Amino acid sequence: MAATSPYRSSTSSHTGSGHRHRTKVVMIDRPSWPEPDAAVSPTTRVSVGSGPQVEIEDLYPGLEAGSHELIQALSLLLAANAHVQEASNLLQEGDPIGADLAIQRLHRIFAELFNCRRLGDGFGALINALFCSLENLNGAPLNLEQVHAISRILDLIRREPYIGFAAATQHVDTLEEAGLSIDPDGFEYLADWLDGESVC
Amino acid sequence: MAKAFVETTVLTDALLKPEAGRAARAALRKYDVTELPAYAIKEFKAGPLKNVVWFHNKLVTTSSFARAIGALQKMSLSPKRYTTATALEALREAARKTGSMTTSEMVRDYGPVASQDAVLTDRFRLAIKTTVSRAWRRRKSLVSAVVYPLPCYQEVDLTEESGQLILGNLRCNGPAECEMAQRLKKDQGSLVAMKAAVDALPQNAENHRRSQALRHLIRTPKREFPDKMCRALGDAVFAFLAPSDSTILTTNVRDIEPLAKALGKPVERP
Repeated sequence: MAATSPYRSSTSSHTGSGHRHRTKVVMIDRPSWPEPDAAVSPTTRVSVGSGPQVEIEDLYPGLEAGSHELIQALSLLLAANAHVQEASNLLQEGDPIGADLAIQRLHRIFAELFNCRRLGDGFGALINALFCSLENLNGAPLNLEQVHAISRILDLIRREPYIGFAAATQHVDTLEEAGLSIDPDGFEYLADWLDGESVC
Repeated sequence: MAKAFVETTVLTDALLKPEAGRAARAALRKYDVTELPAYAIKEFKAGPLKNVVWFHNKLVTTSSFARAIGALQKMSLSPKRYTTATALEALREAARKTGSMTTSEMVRDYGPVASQDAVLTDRFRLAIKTTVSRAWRRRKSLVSAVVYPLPCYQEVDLTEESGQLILGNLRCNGPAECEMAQRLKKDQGSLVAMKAAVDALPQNAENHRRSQALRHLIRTPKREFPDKMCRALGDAVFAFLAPSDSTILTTNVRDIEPLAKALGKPVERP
């Protein structure tokens, strides 16, 4: 069933339905900032003292049933990061068309990643913000600063796929600081409507 | 030194709206000093933020963007800048775009979570939740200083229960004596001038309530001034509290300007 996606891991990806809701969580949470040098790393590595480095994906070798979404998400995030890395390299080499080609591949990946949102609202909020950032460009290419901002968020999600919601919202700010717009199409109209006056 | 006294409509734009928010934040940056009365935060939480949280929770409880929009239509809210038809058309367009990002292939592979309505519901639910969380975090840092604290109002952080956002208290719950009433009734001249200005405005429910509250403070200053009346003061609070060397920054010029003019204070739209 999972043969259609080029980014899909070999594990089954069906995850059932419904939202995962947590109980009583104060929305103000600890900040969780990425390392500044993690900008466009193609893979995230975890150092254990001076020993060998371990790939994030290797930390989850034998996931039980119920963790398929995580495997799927990590696989998609790896693919997304590769495209972002490629775009970063090409922009620095003066090839904006090539870079934009790589970035355009992200649309489909982000759409799939959003289907893994039951990993948590932190995960969902970040993927949603990334997806909106691309959509709101309306075809305009990303600049290098924006590519790096997206890369940092992708790295963060790979390191912390179960990131808390409050921590995630702190990172969303970095996308806006790079000049990206993180709200879905139509949000301005909805916000205006909800700020409206009662006509009763 | 240019000083702005920030009114609730500008705070709301800056915190909750993407495009209007950029204009509001740019306007704030033009001033050397920006002051926000605590009353504006109370008004923001009890008004626009409450509405946004209501819609978020409607998305959670209905699990459907279409049903949540249907509920919004029944709430008799009239959009501020746009018409209801324009807003509906924009949201239909958003739904159409979302429809193009999900495929039957994805629904087959991921289940109902990948359906158009489920994706649209969660895109807006998460965007609203993010906006609310950031708005609450930034409500005080957006300006140079939050002024005129309200000892009678205890601010409570937002929390989450089973996916729904909980606002906590929206009304004053501190000492019986209303802080705002205490301040206003010390200056009877200003109260009389503002009441005359309100009474000269077109009659509507909001102006009627404001006139009644001002009348209460003028004629029976020793009587209890309940939270309901404090909220009815609304625009009069900003006109009254704004320092004489400041400009009142508001998108509601129509209602604030007559009050501010009565006290000789300038008003500006971002």
